Amino acid sequence: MLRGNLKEFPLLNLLQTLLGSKRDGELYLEHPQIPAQLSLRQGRLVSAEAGKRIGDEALELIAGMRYVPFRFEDGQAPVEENLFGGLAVQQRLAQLIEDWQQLELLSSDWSEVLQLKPRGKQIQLSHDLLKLASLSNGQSIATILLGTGMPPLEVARKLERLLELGVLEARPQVQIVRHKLIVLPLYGTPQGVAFVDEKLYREWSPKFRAGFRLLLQARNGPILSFQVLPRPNFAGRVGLCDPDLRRHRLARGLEVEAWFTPG
Amino acid sequence: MSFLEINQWLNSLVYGPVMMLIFILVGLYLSIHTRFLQLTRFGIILRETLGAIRERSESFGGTISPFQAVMIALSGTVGAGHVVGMVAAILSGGPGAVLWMWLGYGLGAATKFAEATLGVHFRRQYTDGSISGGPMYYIRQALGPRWGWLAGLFAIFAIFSAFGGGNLVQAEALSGTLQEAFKVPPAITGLLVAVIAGVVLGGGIVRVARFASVIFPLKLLLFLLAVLPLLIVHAGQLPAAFSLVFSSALSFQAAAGGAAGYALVQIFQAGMGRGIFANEAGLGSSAFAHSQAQVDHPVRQGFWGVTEMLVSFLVTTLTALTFIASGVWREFMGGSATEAIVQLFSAHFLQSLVLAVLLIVFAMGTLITWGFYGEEAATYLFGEGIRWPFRLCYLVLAFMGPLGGLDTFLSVSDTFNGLMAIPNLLALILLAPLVGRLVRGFFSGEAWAPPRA
Repeated sequence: MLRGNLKEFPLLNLLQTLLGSKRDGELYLEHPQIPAQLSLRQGRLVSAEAGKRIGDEALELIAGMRYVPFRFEDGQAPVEENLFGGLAVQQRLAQLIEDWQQLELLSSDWSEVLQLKPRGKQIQLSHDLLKLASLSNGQSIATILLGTGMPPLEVARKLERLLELGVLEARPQVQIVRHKLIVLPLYGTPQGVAFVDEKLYREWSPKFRAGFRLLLQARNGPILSFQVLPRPNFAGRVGLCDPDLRRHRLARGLEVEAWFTPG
Repeated sequence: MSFLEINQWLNSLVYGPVMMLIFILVGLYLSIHTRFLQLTRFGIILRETLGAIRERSESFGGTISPFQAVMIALSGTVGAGHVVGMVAAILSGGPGAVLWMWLGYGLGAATKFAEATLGVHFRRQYTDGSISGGPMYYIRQALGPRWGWLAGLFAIFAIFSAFGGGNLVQAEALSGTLQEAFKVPPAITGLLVAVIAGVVLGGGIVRVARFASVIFPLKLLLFLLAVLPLLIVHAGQLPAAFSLVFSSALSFQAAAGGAAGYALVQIFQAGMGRGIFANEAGLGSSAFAHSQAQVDHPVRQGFWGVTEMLVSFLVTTLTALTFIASGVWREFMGGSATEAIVQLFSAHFLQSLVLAVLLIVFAMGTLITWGFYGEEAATYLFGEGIRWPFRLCYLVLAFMGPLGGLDTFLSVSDTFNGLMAIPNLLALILLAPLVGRLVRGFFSGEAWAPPRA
């Protein structure tokens, strides 16, 4: 069995190697959102499957996958084929990969969530783009690539255009983790700002490319939103200025749940 | 001049009126630099310390919490001196001594604040999370490398103080009380004390902190059990006792009895002596404990230093007021404090038993805490490898204390205890502007950046 990651071993090189050794078997691409597999006979691609897509549409999706762990298992080649053309399939794949690489704005992390961007000036969109934009709002890139019924690369190009126009923005999908922190008063710090330990801050800031806020909730209390800044030697604490503590009826030593959110 | 005479001369110098004046002036100087924080920020200090009591076990990611650090400090500070020493001060200076004691506490609060703050600011933190701290680090920083030997001298004074006042005196007091109240032979007491001290000190700072977090609340509880019933019995005389404290602060003519009365110097010396030496502000001892606390800003630990003074102040004041209100002091003016205190507690429903238990717990807490202080001082001088040899020496002395016969050593260690103040106060004067800057930084929201080693 062969294992690795497309980050270190690009797909084309990998397939070239398998072709050279005329291997039969299945190449599994362990993509977190769209698991895919390619079947090889004598090193040639004979079938592809990615999510619910098969054949050339699956190949289109696979061409866009980067940084994905893979494993190749030797075995019997499949009876059913859905990729036709022999060595030409490999060439089609090379072209598709090149096409995907031209998309600069669409993230290779397909778990990112697309959102309509609030903006001031009006933009004229074609019917297709408008439909896609409204469909995409709140959905992950993977869901849209799979679920529109259009060829994946075409969808990807349209998403790229929407991102370019600023109609959509993609934000990393971050799992909410609630931290239990103890409220500590700070003196002379600005209002509306919460301070957390710099280690906690460093852990979360890379997950939010476009900035983030801290939400706090005391038991049975409302959810409060603060701008967040790091502070050294602050493990287990959230620091708020005195006026904020009074305004939100938070007392020192109170345990609150805190989590980060894009913003 | 013999060795003992030199020691006697030094002793009278370090505990004399000139030194007391220096303590007061340093307290005043630090108060000016911190804008009398102990008064102007008193509300915040209470909120940050007593108001944060529910966070007592929550550290900022380090080994011990700020609350545990202050428990160690208080466990070492609040001892027999707060009861027997207070009574002795009134007997030698009259009720007016209490007012001077209060003044000593008021200014000493700034000194203690500075010690705790600087203790945290200049401590050394190692990669395994352990901390080395104490006045030696800020003395060295303040005086520079050329005078760095004074930091080493401070450490030597602290080690001898730990062996003497911190260990032998406490073990002896423990043994005396146990023998008198419960007929326990001194050797048994010595063995018990050494075993308990060995178990606690052997566990390092974490176990010392846990021990102090139990022993100090127990001390307070026992103190209240001892004093409150007496205060209730003499409640009617409390207003008169208060008025006597103020009316006899400058001079006092005894109304009856053999004593002729008290002159101002005598009243001042007795009161200020308690106001300075009972709480150890200026000696630098509690900086050993405070520097161990893991906290976001040194000033926040400094607040605990002020609260430590407040607790010490309440204990001495309650003792003093009870004693004055009881009227027992009139019978024993200029006489023995021990006899006076036994007389005072004869009105208690538990009689002198409560006093005996109180003194035992007080002494045990002080003994353990000073063991830790001495160990930290020894580590500064000789490195980490000295910890266990120091502990073993400390335990041997704890065993020997009840057996007696070490009077000369005790006398020298008492002088060394007073000498601790000289390098410490010198450093505090030089670092007062830094303390002021740290306070201003804290109140303007600045994060703390420890100095580079």
